[in-house]
Amino acid sequence: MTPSDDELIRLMASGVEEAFVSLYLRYQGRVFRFSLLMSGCPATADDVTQEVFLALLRDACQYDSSRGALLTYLYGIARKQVLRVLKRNRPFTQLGNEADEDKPEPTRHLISQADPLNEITRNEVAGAVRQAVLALPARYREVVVLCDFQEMSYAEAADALDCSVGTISSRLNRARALLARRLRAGGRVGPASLDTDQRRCLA
Amino acid sequence: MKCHEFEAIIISMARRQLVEAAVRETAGAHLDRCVRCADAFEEQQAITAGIRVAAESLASQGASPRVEETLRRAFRERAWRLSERRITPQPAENGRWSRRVIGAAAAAILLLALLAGANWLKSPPASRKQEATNLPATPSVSAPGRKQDSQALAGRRRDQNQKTASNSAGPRRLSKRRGVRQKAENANEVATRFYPLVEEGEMAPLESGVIVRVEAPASILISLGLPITAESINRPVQADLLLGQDGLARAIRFLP
Repeated sequence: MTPSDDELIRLMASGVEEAFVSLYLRYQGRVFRFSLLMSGCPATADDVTQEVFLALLRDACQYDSSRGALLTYLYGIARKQVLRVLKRNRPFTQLGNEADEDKPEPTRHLISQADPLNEITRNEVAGAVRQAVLALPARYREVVVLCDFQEMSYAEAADALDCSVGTISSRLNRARALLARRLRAGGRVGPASLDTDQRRCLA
Repeated sequence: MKCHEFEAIIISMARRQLVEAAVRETAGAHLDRCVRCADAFEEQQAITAGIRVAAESLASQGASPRVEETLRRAFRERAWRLSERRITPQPAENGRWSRRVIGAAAAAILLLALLAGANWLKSPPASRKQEATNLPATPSVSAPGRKQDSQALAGRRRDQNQKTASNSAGPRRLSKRRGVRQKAENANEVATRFYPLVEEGEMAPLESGVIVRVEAPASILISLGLPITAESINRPVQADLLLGQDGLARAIRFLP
């Protein structure tokens, strides 16, 4: 029988290393992917994942299972870490922000410029979507990553991002509209630009 | 269904979330009629599909083994530190406690010094001067000692047994500092207790007094009923006279 998160946390707090490792193996993938999709950098995702579990190790007593799932708690820590990194790196990498989100193609350099008709493969589509997601402003990006990539419910995402369900819903709508625009501009998505093969690939 | 109503559920439908069957049916009918909404819905479905493809491509990705190694090491170091803390008391805490004790002791010493200084300043200037110059004491009897002194004098008349008397039995009531000092002086000289020279009620009650060291003829011992040897009958004896506030002698005690 698989031990619950609470049991593992208890064992971890009492010094059982394997409990900590079990928690790590259980959640590191999702934390890493969240960080990767948010930052676009595997090294940063590694660092953030490490920081998240170090924080868990240090402050395990702060986790209260009655307030939410452990994964939500970990996402909350990861989000703060990623946003800190993004803020620190802002002078070097200008990602989309609220002010220019309505401007056409502000982050075109992040989106693949390859001809979609010649390179329709799943990996390329995946890459294009990831780049389009990465070009979203952080507050939209995190909602797309949690709700669409990690398939969390609106309520769980609201817990992780410390906002209301209504905020999640509206941000997701806005984020997907931006995604559609960016992918359309890149020729990846849209009824006008997709032929039958493409649609089959994306479906 | 109108376009703005469809826009409210387009994301949910594109993400294949649960939508009521009746709503879904109405939305389908709207899509058949509205090309714009149908295009938007198709676009959103494509985005959902693209996101799923991207998510699947990442599904196998995770943190590098280095992260796990680092975390394991951090866990062991932390566990080791915690166990060490449980076994041995923290030196920092001991140091903190000893610092507290030293601080408290220093504060107490300072407080005592201040109190002593204040007490010294409160004492009369004359006595301060005498203390400073180590002159013999000629203190005045303080007011609170009056009642006790007169009672002691009356008691002494009834009790004629000669015994070594200490200062506490005497009529003098000195300030604390002078009392301590006087006790130290009298510890070396053995004196008798004070013998009253006047009957109770003959004079006004003793309110204050002065002790004066005098030499008196030994015959005074006889008059008080005290024993005296034949050899010492012609020798003067050292005595302390207690003079009242009116300057009259109230009592006497003898020194060897």
